[in-house]
Amino acid sequence: MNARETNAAAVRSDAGRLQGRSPWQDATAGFRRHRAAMLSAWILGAITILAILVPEFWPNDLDEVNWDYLGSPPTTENFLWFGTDVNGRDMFSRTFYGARISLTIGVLTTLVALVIGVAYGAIAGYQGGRLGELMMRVVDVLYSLPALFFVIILVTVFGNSFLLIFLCIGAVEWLTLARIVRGQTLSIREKEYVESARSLGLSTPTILLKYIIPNVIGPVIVYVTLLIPINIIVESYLSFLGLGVQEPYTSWGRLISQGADEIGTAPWLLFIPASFLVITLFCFNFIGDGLRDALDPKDRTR
Amino acid sequence: MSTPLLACEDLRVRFQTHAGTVDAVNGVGFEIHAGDCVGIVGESGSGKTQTAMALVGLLADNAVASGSVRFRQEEILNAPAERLNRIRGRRVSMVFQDPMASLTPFMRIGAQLCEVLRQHSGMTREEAKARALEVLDIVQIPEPRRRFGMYPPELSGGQRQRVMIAQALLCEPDLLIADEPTTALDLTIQAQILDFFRSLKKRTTIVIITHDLGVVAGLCDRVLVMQAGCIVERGTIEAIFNASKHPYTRTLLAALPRQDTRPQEPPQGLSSETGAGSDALLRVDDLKVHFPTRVQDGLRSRTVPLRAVDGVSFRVAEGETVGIVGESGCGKSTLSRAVLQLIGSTGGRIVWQGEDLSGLSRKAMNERRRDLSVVFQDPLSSLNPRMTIGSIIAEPLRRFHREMSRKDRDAAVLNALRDVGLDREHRDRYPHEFSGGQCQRVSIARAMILKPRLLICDEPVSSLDVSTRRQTIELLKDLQEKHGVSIIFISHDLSVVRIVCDRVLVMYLGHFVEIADRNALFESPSHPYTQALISAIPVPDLAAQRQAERIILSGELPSPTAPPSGCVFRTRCPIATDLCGEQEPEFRTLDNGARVACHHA
Repeated sequence: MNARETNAAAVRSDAGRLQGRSPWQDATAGFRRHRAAMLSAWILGAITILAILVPEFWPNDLDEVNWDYLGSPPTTENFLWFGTDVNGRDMFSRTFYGARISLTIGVLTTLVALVIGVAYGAIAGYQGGRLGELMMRVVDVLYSLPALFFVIILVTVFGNSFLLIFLCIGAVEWLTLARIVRGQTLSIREKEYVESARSLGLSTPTILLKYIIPNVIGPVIVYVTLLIPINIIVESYLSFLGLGVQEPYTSWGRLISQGADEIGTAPWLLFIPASFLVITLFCFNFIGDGLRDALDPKDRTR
Repeated sequence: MSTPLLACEDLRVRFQTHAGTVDAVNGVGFEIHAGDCVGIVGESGSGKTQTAMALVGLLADNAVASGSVRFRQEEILNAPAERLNRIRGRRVSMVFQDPMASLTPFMRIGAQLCEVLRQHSGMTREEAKARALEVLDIVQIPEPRRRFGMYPPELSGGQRQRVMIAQALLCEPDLLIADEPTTALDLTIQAQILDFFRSLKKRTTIVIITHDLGVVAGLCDRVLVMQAGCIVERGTIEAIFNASKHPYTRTLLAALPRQDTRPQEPPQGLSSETGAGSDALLRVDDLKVHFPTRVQDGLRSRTVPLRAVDGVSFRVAEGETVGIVGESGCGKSTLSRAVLQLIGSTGGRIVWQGEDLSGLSRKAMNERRRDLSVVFQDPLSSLNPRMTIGSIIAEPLRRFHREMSRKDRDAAVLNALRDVGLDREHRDRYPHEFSGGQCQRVSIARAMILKPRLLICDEPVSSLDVSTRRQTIELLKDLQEKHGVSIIFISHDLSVVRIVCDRVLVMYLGHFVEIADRNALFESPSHPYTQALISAIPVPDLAAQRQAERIILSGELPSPTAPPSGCVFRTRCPIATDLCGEQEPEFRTLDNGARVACHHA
């Protein structure tokens, strides 16, 4: 029995229900069944809440020097649970401030990439013809430039402001998204519901926003959850190279870079932020996995 | 009685899904004896395919089968794969519905055939090749040696289905199970394949699974009718057709359009010349739609026009239903999209209410779209999966009646839902929760909500079950009577066209070959292609099936990039002469009012 018949049978079995179950609700239910993804979502939620609260309410500020605890390993005294760095600054506070910056950059850069990539890809795919071809050749050319090198040049030329960092990363990372969206759009454009929208004389922006983009968003969401950790890593590279956030503020990449210098004398400076980074990356990857399974209509029967 | 070849007792198949368990087959039992030809008939969801899958151990992972299936006294239900593999492919073979999906596209035909032989009979390479060629010859594939080295996508649908049957016949199986073997094929190709199955009956025992009683009529000796996982009636073919006892069987029989009886109501007194007046709603003059395609020509590639529609003219009058009939690839869908201005035309004129549409600006054209509606073939893919039924139906109102209040719009949507026989609760559901027939009702509701003047239906019932098909047609006719809309009804299914249309245009390779009133067309078809099409309809009536002289066209549709010279039909025409190759036939009006493009009709 194929998925559609099973679905039809399911519809008959609860005919009393009034509200429809949208494809989104189906996907949510599917996601909830994915254990690793659900656990990752909880962990990520906890890290996010800590990243919001810790820098505000923790007794030790991120740039406050604890003269009695220079380079102290993790201890229960004085709330220095993650120890201090060589300047005596509280690593707990700094780690979660770093989380705040890294996650913000990860999410915002991805949003920038998402907006540009989806709009560009959908237009190129829907218009097709010469314009579409030209738009995709532009993407090919940009693809061939080494992206990280490109970001580094932009950051060195324009100075490293917070805003610029995510504009730069976002502006480089949209290329793959544009390709994914264009590919999906090409197949959806031929669907009969798009033809019937055209036969109503709906305007191109309406068709794009209402008929094309909602239907390409499945694979896009999956890619986005994978893009967030990529962008966190890119920011880490930049910070590692000294091109990211400036003192006294910090990010995971910067903490890892500083910790790497002290690995012989104070290994916790490297391992604590590094493990948070790794855990976060795993979480996003698992969530991406879960979403991919949940949004795949072929898996509806499970 | 001798021991049966295959005996099936109390077979049950149950699926575990996250929505609960679904019983697909509920205690089915039957026996098949050597030399039988048995048809299992039922609509989708009746469990007929799952029964067959259980017989050969190909059920999906989430299915549980119980009961007993014995092949030559040996229990094979839930048998381990090694044991099944000794039987499958060698003693029992299966032919599936979709010939494209059932052949590996990256392997040559010959290699796929030889693999089966080497797996099952340990033949040498040469022996296997010889046997494969022999079987390709049995299934009447033209030029078997050349096909041997080809890949599946290079073959046409009918040829692929023949290869599938060849694969199934390789090891001379005792039992051949064919699941909807002709459903994906065109009418004339279906007639070829069914004709071949008739000759196959002498070689092996056959089980045919189908939704179409017409298919089993000329072929099977015994029929099992399935509904909701149970066999509701069984008997000889004569008993089922002439004296069916179960109401479901009678419903299936009644749902089938019969060729031998005239439809009840006469056409609305229109001759084939109607619409000829200047007040025609739609007039199409010498319309051409060519697509540039690149073909490899030696080392260089050059652009050749694909003549999808090549100079057609017709008129549609107010309130009239015009049928356009032809096999897939004849250009009928392209024609409908050109009339809707969804694709540009290469030449000719489309005159809508006295106004040439191709000359209009995009904006002006969009205003005309209020009166032009369309219903597409695939019910599920013609509805946006991310929109609720209510907002899908309201879309034309939002587009053309922006001033309408939300309340009025909701009322209009509920009205439209009621018109097409859906409940008000359905408004907030999503398309994937509906069956094909319900989705098609939604499409019709949306197309009709603006009370258009012309409705173009592109194969609106082709993907529906027979009983749903009947209801959908009734619905279209009711709405037409109520709102007086003109309909262009595109279909490959002549029996449906006969019920719905006043006038029929027969299309072949981008040209019209015959234009006639419904009754004139069906009672005295003039063009040889029309005659072949009508004779290819599987008739659900034994007497008619046996008496009718069948015309089976040889070969397949030529490529529209290189249409034959002169008359396009001459390559498959039984009465073609030299004249047909030299001169393109003009339309002539015959005594019964039909207009035909043929030198000899």
